[in-house]
Amino acid sequence: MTEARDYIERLKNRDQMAYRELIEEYSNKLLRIAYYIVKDQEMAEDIVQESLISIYKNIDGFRGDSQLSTWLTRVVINNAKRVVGKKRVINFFPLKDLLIKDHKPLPHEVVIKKEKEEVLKEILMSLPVKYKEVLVLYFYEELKIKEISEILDISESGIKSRLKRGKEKIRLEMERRALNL
Amino acid sequence: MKEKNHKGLEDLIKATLRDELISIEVDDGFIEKTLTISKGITPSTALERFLEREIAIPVSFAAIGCLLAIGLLVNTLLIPKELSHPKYEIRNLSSTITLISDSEGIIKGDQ
Repeated sequence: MTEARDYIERLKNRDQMAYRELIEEYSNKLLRIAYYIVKDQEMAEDIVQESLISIYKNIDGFRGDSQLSTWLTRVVINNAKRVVGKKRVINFFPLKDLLIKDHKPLPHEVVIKKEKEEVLKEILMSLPVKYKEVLVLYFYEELKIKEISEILDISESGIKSRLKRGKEKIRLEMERRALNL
Repeated sequence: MKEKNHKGLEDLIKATLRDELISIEVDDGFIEKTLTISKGITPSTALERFLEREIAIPVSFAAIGCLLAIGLLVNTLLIPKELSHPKYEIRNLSSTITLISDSEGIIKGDQ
């Protein structure tokens, strides 16, 4: 706890080493969250960079009520949502990703599994942002409902309900495509 | 069975997200570029932070605002019940065409 407070103090004192540590530690994690929301790596990098600079600029206003990672994630998600809102992101899946790369005949079960994964990937990427942000924090970042609730500023019951609806949407879409789990 | 399906779906979501996102990484120059940009940034003042703060309007206030706006809109669309009568009557003062009926000998005016 004291360590975290000291670290924030160093950031507030514009310690370049502390800022470098922050970028090194969080860049990839934040980039993946932003990428999942905007579906474009270049755009996601811009969002993360903008967010990190904004954090640097406004660190004096950080009261320490929440964890630094919570604040960072919140800023990135808000910026990503703003970008998605401004620019309609096209659902784009390169054809090569949808084709099975190995042309050797595969056992039936492997083909089905592969197909299921590809379809799920497609469904996951095309979900509305309100489900995506919850799913990525819960399943990828493995955060607790309470932590997600703090990041997104939504009640815990709201998070649970979005998780449930998100999963339901995925399940129904898989069923529609005749892919049972 | 349903429980098993749920667990199966959750595991599949986890695995798919992991596979999809694991390869996403910042490029080599990202850290240096961000550090360089940040050096030229001046920290925001307390006033700037205050001005940038989002003001959250409670839903009830927003709802009241909407109702007032709708009320005003509807009010302007209503047909007024009583129209005030003009004080003076406008009469057609243009020259009237007068016809004389030969048979009846009555002068007929444009009425």
